[in-house]
Amino acid sequence: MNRITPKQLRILTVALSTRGFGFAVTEGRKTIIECGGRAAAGDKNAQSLVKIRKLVDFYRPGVLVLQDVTAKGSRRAPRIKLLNQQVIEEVRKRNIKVSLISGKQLRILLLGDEKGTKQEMAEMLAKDFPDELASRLPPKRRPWTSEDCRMDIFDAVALAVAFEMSDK
Amino acid sequence: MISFCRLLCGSELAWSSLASFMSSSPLHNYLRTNRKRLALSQEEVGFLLGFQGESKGIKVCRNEKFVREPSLHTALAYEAIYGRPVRELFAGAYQKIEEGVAARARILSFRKDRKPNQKKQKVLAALARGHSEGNS
Repeated sequence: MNRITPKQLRILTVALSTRGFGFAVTEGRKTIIECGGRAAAGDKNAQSLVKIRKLVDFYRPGVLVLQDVTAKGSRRAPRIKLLNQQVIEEVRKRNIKVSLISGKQLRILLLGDEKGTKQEMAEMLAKDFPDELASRLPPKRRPWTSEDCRMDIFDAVALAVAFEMSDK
Repeated sequence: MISFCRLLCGSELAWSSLASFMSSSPLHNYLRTNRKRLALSQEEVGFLLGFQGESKGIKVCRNEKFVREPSLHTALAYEAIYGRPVRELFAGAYQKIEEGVAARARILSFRKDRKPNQKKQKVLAALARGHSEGNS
């Protein structure tokens, strides 16, 4: 049968951050359906949760991939850890599988080096997905500047790529 | 790489194999993905589709968010703009319709004809399996 749209696992990845979160929806190894960032102000966890719920309902993913904030060596803020747990509980209610990938595993999978930087990862992803990501690549962070909000998107796409790679 | 198959939390399933057999039904449409691929705005696509007035972008937005189904004319215009076949752009809708056709083909294949036509039975059997004539 020559189906044009073979059924593929749709993955939603969410990278939580101080400003909100970045997300990516992918199908297969080379298709980014959608990626972007969502800002949250005030009660950040409540707002983020509402926005993530909307994304889950809209894209109906097979798997949700998040960063493993409880992994050894992870130094995420208590708010992010709490939100991560809330997101996991929320999607489990919808019978969606959850996958966690730690920052260390992410770097090893994508860069082959646990000491690789986010910038290196972002540059690599921008090369792999030029149409979707090249225009969003932030300039290299200087020691006196804070992280660019666009980096959340790259974190989310990196999680998706790592999940696909772990499936090989 | 095997160690990374257990990156995951929740149930202690072997996720590497899980992901390979799990599949998601396609989205209703992939208009937004294709529009972003071509770096076009909703307003611009609305203009290309021939929409009039100030709500050009809103109409495109409604199509993308599955709120409103486009007419045949608009669907074909989408194909012309994005360079992808309609059934690929509206994959979820196509799949639903295809399933409906397959179900009806199964019913039709049970109907007894006075003059059995082998070609027709072949076509109906293929449709019932989800193979259209163009695909087989």
